[in-house]
Amino acid sequence: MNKKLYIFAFINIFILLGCKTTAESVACDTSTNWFEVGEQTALNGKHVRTFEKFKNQCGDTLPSTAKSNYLDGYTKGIANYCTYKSGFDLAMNGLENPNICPFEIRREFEKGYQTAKIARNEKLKRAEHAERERARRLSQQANAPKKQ
Amino acid sequence: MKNLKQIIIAALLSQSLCSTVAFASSSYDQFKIEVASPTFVLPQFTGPYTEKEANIAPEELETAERLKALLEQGKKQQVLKELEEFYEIELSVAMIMLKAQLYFALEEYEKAEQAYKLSLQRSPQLVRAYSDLGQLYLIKDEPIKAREHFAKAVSLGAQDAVIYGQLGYLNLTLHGPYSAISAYQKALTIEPSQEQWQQGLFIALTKGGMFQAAQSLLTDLISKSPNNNKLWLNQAILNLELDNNRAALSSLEMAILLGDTSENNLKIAAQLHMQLDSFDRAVELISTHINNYELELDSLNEYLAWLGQRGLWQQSKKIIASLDNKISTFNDEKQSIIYLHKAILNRELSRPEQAEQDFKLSLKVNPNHAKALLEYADFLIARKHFTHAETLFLRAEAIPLSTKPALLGRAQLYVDLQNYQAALKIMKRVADRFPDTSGIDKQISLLENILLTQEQQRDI
Repeated sequence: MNKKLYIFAFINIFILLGCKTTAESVACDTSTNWFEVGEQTALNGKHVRTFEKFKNQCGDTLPSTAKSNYLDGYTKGIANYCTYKSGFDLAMNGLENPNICPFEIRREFEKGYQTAKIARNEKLKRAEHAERERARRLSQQANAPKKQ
Repeated sequence: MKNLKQIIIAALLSQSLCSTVAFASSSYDQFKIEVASPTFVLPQFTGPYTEKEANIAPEELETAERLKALLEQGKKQQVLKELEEFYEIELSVAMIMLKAQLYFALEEYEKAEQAYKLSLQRSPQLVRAYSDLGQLYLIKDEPIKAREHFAKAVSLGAQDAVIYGQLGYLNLTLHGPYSAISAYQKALTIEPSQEQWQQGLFIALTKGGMFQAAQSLLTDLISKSPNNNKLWLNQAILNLELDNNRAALSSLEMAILLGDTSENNLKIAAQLHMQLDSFDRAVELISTHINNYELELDSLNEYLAWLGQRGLWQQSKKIIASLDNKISTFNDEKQSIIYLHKAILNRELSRPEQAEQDFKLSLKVNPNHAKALLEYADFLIARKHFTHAETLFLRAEAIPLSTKPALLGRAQLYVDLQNYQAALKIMKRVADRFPDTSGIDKQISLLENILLTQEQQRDI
């Protein structure tokens, strides 16, 4: 039992460390690579204004170059994020469109998102229909006269 | 006269910029006929939503309408403040372009440049961003970058006369006339009545030696606008190129008659009149120049030197007399020069007492006036006042500009007085300090021979 607990704790710590830049808090010292923070924020589909949270968190300790580096990284990240596949995956997972793609590159992302949304709705409808059918069959079976 | 024309044309061709075309005479410093320059124009603020290439995002429409209303009220700063509240990635390229234009209009050029560059980073085909950046670099005096951006705008399909006109201007400045002609022609195709492009094309054709084409263009323009003095100035330039001084002068006079007030052009017209022996008109123009502009000593000296060379002392007198009533308003240096001219004039008119008085006045207001010291010394030698002349030479020797002529003058004075020993001593000093003096060794040897002969005669 103890062994299982250790493993669980270890996995949790690992996840937390891995999410250092994607979680909405950062280390405010010079060790933070703000370009990467910006890039990851975009790749995770978060809004550019996530930086405001970092700013509030760090206060005066925020390095002077943090914002411009963050924005450079974000600009790079958002170009990679706003693709057909990202939009498609997002909608397939039933997540909301964060509306963060710049106007000139949002078309493919939107297309992917809409396509997946329709497909997902169809899938859900089919599942609902299947569920209803299953329930109906079960009900029929339950109400059917028992064979002598 | 032929030589003069060649020099004029050579000077014309040597001008590196098209804004002015220069000509010179063999006895004058270089002059420039002043014509309107082919220039670049500042872009007008054209409003936020006229770009063909960049569109506003649908979610920005409401904001855009509000900002548009503010802009119509002239509240650029307020619009800029609102736009600055956004992260740039949140804005469409059209809105970033608006921001860039506002920075440009408010002369915040560094920020404008950054915003344009950002627009291009996100929309690399944005013609408007390239052309605006070209204008920006022109203002920042970075012509090479400006040219690159205008050329890029054209390569992306821009069909704007201003862009072609700017390209013409930059090509003319950076790459010579031939690359400019086509650009100016295209600008003129789009805006046939735009004076800047006409002027640019004319200068490019002239500088490219395409005089017939330039003349055709000019004839057409003059027939449409016969009262445009700039066109007559162009005609004057062209006539000089075509070796026709008389026609050049007629055109220049026409330009002056039509209101050209350039000081330089008055000066050139006066000189051309002197060349063509129409002295009365020359003096009239010189008087107009002297009475209407701040007295420039070089011009005055040149005018009087020219008249003096021709022996036109009465005309000189007239010009100097026109300065009499305002001489006290000039500084000491100018006063000294005017008194010196009066002295020389009186000397030439055989009025030695008045000449001497003017020499003294010249040196009284400027004791270090080298030319006055030398002229006065020569004057005194002619009147056999050798001791006073020697003193003046000694004073002139202390002034670096006149050391050599003063030494030579004093040596000549000693020769005239048959004091060859003293003359030899001075000539050796000249040789020592100015070894490049032409014929100095010969003069020394001559003096040494004279002294030797004298010695030998004494021995006999």
